[in-house]
Amino acid sequence: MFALFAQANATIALSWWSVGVAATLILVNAVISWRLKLGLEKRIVWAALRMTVQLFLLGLVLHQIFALANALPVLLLAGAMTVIAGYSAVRRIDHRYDRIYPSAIFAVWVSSWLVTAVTVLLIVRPQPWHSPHVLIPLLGMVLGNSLTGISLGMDRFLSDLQSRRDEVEMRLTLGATRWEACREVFVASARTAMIPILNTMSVAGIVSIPGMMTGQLLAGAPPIQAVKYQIMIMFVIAAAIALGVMLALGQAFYRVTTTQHQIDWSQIRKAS
Amino acid sequence: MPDRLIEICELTRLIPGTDQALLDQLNLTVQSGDRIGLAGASGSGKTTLMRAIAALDPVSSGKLVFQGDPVCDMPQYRRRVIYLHQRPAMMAGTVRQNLQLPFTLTACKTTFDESRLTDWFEGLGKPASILDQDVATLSGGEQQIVALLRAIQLDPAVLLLDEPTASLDAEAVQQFEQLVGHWMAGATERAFVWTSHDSAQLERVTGRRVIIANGKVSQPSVTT
Repeated sequence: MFALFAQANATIALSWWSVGVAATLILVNAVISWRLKLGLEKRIVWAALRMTVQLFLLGLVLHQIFALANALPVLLLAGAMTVIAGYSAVRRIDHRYDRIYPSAIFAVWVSSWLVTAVTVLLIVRPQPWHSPHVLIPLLGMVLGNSLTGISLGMDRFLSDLQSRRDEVEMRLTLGATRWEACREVFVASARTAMIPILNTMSVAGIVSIPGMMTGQLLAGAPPIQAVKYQIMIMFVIAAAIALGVMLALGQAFYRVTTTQHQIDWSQIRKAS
Repeated sequence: MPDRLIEICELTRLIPGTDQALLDQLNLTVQSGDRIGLAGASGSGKTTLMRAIAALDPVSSGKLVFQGDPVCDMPQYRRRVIYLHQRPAMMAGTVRQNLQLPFTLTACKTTFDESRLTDWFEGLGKPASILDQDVATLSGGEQQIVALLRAIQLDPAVLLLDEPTASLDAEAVQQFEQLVGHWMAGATERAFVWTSHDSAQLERVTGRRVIIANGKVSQPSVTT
């Protein structure tokens, strides 16, 4: 017990042997799937392998980039992460429209980069500003949450337009503008996208110790310092989600409606 | 000489992503006093044409003229030329809230007149308390009557009635026809286009027949 406390201010290095021991825990999932005939064995193995390889590659890339004192590779990595986040957001959406990928990538890009830039340049202020050990994890957290908000919002917007088609059109037939016809669906979608982060904020520190704080504590940071970082990242993420969702829904709205106050139903289709 | 309310010139609508025409350089004139029965086989494009008159779908080419001027303010136009769906679309809430809905829109410059609606309901043998009823508790026929009242309280020039009584019982059909007749008699500058699979109904309520086939209409401008 005392030994644990004594080590509290330093990172405990993990050997590959220890990681291997942790990997055997996946057998719990595999055995449950096998005994209950869940049919998930292949997916469990595939997910475990993907996760391991992806994170290992990320580690290698970060190792290289951290060693360089140059902004360009950091920005290139950040750009690649952003495009992948936009792409992943669309992959989670059941209903789509033409050119939804550029829409989602644009929304993720603008919202995440703007909010991360404010955080890095005005709040955290690392020297130099492009310090990858600050920029990359921050952007990663913002992107992960922003893409979830954007996919939830866009999916709700497009599927609700379809399911509430009669009601939306009824408004148009009575003289509604396209905004008046879609407003309720738009608002419901924005709420759907924003509620998860508000829920997370409400229970932060009660139900679980949030990710960034966990990382900082494991890395040996004093708890109050870890708390400050966690509070900051929560506000940053909430702002990025709000901005990203508005940008994504705005684009979706303009894409599926026309200047003649029509809904172009041929634009909306189920993902194949 | 009756006034021309709506002129559709060379209207073409293609199936999105194809060269196949749903409406093919179609011309149609709706004049004041017109009671048009739009007929055609299933899938011939009756609903597509009705929706085109209401400008509800993007078209490939063509011109839409209302009372002599090309239509540019679509919400204002749709307030004057109202399309009624076969299935009445209601928003969740009371009958009153549904009837008040058009007056919450920026295109509507008039105010909600409850006494006028109460008179209409009483004329149909329904108590004024129906206004406070949840629309979800109404029958399909009653909902369609509410949808019609929601439209005609705006004093439109043209009603586009797309199989409006297809799933209604005989009493609701009679009430619906009575209301449309009452609305038509209210002013001279009015007309309607009505589609129905019930040829007896078309005989009963309409004055002239327009037939649609292969994306074109025949007898587009003959009035009776």
